Amino acid sequence: MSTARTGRDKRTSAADERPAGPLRRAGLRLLRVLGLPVLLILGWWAYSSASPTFYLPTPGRVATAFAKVWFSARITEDVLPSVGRLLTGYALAGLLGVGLGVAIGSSRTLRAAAEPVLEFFRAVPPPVLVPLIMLLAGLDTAMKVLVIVSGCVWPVLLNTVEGVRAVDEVLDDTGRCFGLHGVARLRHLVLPAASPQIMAGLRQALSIGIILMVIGEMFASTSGLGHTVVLFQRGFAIPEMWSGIVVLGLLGFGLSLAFRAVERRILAWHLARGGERGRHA
Amino acid sequence: MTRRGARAGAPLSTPRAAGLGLLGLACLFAVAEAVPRLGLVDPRHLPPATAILRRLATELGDATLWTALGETLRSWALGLAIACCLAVALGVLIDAVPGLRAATASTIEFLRPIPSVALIPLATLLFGAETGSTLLLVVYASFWQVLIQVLYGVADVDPVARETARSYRLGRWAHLRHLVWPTALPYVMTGLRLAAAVAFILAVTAELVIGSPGLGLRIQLAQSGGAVTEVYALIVLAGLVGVTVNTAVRAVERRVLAWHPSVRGEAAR
Amino acid sequence: MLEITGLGKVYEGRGGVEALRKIDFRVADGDLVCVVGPSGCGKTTLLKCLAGLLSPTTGEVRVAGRRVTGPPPGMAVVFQEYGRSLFPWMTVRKNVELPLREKKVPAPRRRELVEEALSAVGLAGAAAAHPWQLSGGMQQRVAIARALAYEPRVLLMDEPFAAVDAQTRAELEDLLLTLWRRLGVTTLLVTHDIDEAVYLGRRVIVLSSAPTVVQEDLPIDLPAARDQITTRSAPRFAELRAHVYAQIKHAKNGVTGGDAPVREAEQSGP
Repeated sequence: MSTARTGRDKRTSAADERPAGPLRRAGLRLLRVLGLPVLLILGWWAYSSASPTFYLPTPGRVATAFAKVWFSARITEDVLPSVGRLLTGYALAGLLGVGLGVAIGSSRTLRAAAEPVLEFFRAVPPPVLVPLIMLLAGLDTAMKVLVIVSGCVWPVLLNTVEGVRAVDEVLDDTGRCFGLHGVARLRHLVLPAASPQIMAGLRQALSIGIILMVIGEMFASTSGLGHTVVLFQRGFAIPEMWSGIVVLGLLGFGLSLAFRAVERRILAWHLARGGERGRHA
Repeated sequence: MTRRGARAGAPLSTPRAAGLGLLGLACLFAVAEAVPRLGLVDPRHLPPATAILRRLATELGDATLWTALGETLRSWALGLAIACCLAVALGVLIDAVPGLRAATASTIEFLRPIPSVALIPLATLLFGAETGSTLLLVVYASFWQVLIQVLYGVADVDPVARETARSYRLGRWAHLRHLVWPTALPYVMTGLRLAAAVAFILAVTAELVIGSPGLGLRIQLAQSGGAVTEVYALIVLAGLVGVTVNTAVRAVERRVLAWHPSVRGEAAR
Repeated sequence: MLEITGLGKVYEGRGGVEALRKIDFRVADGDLVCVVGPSGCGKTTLLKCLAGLLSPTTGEVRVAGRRVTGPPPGMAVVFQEYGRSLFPWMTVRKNVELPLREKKVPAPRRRELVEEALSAVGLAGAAAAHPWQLSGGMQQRVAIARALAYEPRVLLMDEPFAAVDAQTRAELEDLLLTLWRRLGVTTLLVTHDIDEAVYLGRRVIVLSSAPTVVQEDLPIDLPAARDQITTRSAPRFAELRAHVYAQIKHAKNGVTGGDAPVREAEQSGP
């Protein structure tokens, strides 16, 4: 098949393309990666300067505001504490979810009993917990972390239960024949086998975590990223507000990049195998 | 001894599983009832389960609650529908135009992880505390879920099937209709299922934070009025609606994909 | 070494399916026994009972005089589904090594055993690869190497060569014979392939169709040195083969086996 393809490629491409040198190929790649974003920003620029609206400042003004607002003490006072709380809550939720998930997933009885309850908790939109927790205890740091934990834990828990349940029967038998039990069974068999599912749960939990971090701060806080952005919006500081949106976007993007790097490391064996149903799930 | 043969992965018989499930729910109920009654937690912070359910019953007798619920579900359905149509159209377009996938990849990878709540200030400015704000967030959040799945789906068309279609000189439309769409459909349904859950979360969130009409606004009002029991009752309601939404979408998925091996396998298991 | 007395297994559930009725046989120390039977006769159930993965409803299994109540120490199992029995997140070396770690074998000895086992199956060069990067035949070699490195006193094999192509299968059969002769480990191999059973076994045990009993216990009086070409073309081989074949056909047409032939194709699939 590969010979057929190269044959066809040659016929169609010989006319319009000289043999591409490495420089030219790098240029093409750069164009592919940056072409559309640059076009979009240029379009935004053209639109916002041609018809100056109050709500849509030019990218230049947003960039200026960005530099002024965020390259300051705000980074240490608002951004880093927010991210710290997010990561703490996320890590706690991960530990809790995997731990409970392994316990529940390993027992049929427990699983059948817990399933409806878990389905219910998963279906509760996590942000509604914010007003509840506020009502109960106000929103200090511990509570903000608690909000994140209480929202993130469900996808991790449910996916772990599912992953542990689906450990391959033959693999499990093999492990038992060779005397794999207890901690070793968990470490060498159950957790790796469930890891694609667990990572899927963690991925969902990450985006829920960011949402909860922002909402917790928007709703009831005097500091933090979410609070600052809402403050700008209420004060009609539009370029600053846009710069805040950009910061949130960058945060989401950065965390997802980091997550993907970790995932690639942990699931290297799974991804190289073609990921099976990984992308379908 | 005999239990050793029973493995953790095998499903229980349906009536037993249902019985155990009910037992689990009953346990949750009992704990939620006992903890405040025994004074382990201040009943002002966690009212007994019976009080919450009684309050929920009263709320359900209130016509305005149904209006609010209707608002939320309308935003949910409308937002989901818009996002789906946009995502499917864009996904198919990206697949159909050569080079477009490579050109859009970086932009999609950047925009996708942007948390939809980042748009809350913008939505507030543009639409104020109205349904439009809710829609904006719902559409943005669910759009990416569907688009990503559509992109996987259209790329999954079997190369041999593609060649076959070419050799029979299938037109562009027939190619789309008989080859691309059936292949992508399971992926679209997966995207829809994921998006439905996200859309419901975002609908409630938008109402809660921005104050557009719906269930979320009601929770927020109850909270600022200090009506703890009502807050709990509404949260339980939100959870029940969420379960219903998830179950309904799963049922639709199963029905649409009745011919598909992944669903058939699941049903047979 | 291996004593099976009055072994019966009834699966719980609707009606209760009687898979094994009453199985009796023993395997002497260092023997190589093949178990054949019509499709659906409960060969795999039997093997799982022997391996301690299923608990029998009646009767008992003893390994070296000790009653089996769970996977006994000193027993290794090679499954048909090599793709599912190797740990995909571990390299070939780690796969072979893992059971040894659990056995608390000290590290230097462990390394030695792994190297030995891998070169015995001709995979010394593939130690750093992941199982899914190898062909089916090679994966099954890894599974065999893992079993060998474990230094078992009893080796159970559940249709180990059913999911590989015919040529690989012949190679693996000869590999098994060589290793068995060298190590003298007591081996019980379950198969649905009559030729394979006669070619490999010192004894062939023919099972009836379900509910299963031992239909015949047949000593194979072929010369000890076996060879794919000469052994398989020997008249005695053909006789034995025909005999076992007749026995199985008889078993199928016997008491209940109405639906048995249909499953043949599914069973041999990967």
